[in-house]
Amino acid sequence: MKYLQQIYESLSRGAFLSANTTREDAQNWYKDVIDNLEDYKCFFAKIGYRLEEGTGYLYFSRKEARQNLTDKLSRFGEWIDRLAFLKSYEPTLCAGMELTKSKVLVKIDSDIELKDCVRKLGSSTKSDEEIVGDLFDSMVRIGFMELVNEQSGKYKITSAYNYLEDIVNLITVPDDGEQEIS
Amino acid sequence: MAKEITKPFTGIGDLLSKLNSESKLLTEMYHYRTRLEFSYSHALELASSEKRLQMLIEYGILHRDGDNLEIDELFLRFFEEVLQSSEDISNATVEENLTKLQKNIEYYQKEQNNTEGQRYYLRMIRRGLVVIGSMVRRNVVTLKRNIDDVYKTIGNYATKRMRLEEYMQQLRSISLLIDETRKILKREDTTFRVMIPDERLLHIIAEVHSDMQFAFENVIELERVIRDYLHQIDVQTRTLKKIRKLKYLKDMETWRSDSDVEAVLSRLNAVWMEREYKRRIKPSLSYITTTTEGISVLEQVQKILSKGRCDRRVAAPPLGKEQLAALKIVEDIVDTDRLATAFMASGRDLFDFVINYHYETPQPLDRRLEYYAEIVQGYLGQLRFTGEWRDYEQLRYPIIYAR
Repeated sequence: MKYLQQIYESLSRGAFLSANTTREDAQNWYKDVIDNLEDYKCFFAKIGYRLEEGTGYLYFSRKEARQNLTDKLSRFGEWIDRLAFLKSYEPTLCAGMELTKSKVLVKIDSDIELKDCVRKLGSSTKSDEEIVGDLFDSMVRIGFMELVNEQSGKYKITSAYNYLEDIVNLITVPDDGEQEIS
Repeated sequence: MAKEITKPFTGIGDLLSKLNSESKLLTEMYHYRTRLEFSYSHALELASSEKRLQMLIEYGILHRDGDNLEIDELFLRFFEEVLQSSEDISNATVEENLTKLQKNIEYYQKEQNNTEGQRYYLRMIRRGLVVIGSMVRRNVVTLKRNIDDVYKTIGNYATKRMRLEEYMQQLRSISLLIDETRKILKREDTTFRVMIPDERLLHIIAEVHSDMQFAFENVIELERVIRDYLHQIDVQTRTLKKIRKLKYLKDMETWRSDSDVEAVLSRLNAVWMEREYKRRIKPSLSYITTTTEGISVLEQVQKILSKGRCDRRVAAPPLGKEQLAALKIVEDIVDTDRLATAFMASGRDLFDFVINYHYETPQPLDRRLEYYAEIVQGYLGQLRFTGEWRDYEQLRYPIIYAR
């Protein structure tokens, strides 16, 4: 358990660790956790965290909720908005895919549905560029995305993104075919 | 597999110069490769000299078979693969070649007594095998590239699905062709053994075997990849549909009742859902009291605290309803002017009037005396002093009337 402090500091802020991260330090952290999974789990359990493992990602949860259901719904609701926007931009969006703000902005200009979606993501006083910037920032902060090339502004979707889709797949919605997908 | 002993090339330069020196002959032989009949004498005409032609045979670029010449399979396959790498996948041609091969084997068997005829069909068989081997191999490689391309580049789910299903069909037919070819190769015991012992045929058979093995392994892998891709597409389509539906219900504010989002989220206590990620850790007392850093922290805290106290403004509690309502203020003032006017009209003596006046609110004696004095001072000119004095309790007062 060489990276206890770093992992604790990252995960306890609500961030995720990804298997396909391009950051060298995070790669070491992930590898160390996977190699000593039980040790890490035991340690974090003692200080009130549950180290959870998904397909290619790690995160913290707790035994007892620290927030009420309304807060959870509102937090998750924000992510559903972001997810719906990103999926409208790229229906095949998945871990490993690369995105740039500029390409997203270009598509917003030429796609009415996307334009409508982006307006719902931020306040009306903000420009599309600011809203997309905020969206990318939130994705990076939580660890669903990483900046891989500063010069070309290229971002990569990490495997932690799977977590969002995993939750969506846990939820049952009535299937009345109201919105057909082409 | 033993082959005719050939001279080795000294390097790539050597190989290229030898190919280049007889490019005219090689080009012609490549164009006529499917006819399988290229006579030595015809080659001699095209070659720069017989010595050069012999050299090509010695180095294994060409093979002499009786009166006929052929390009070595290794070189032929290289030329074909490089020159035809962009050829579309067509399993039909492979199938055609396979039928042709089977027929050639039959013809060969029928030419039992004709050595010349047997030689011809043997060449056809060799050629057929090489073509089938390289075609199947190439088809598998192209298919692999196409499958990856389609999965990664086509955005529309329906088209992507259909394209991948088409490739799945192609893979199935390739896999049938592999089976067929293997069956023919297995007939080595019954068919190929009765043929003239031919080193090159045995070598080709071994090559085709390995081609088929390579193709077979790849076909299995590609089938798995396509199934995987198709599955991923299905999952992605389902997820996409669900995300849109969930977003729709959320926007309609009915997702709490129309989906089980509440039940799912109430089971999850992930840290990312918490609004604030605050950690409170109590500072160490010994650190604060014994180190210079700690002391300076204490001093700063003290400063902040004392500043806070000075600047603190305690806001008054908000006004209540009663306080906000309009109020009548009753001022207990006696208007001495009006009192004097009333006195002038009364005809009584001043002292008696002021003391016994019916005030709206009862006035104490000293206040009443004050009014008496005020009227005397203020209306002196309008009063008549009689000079008579009377007693009221312990007071003595002059009798005054209005004029």
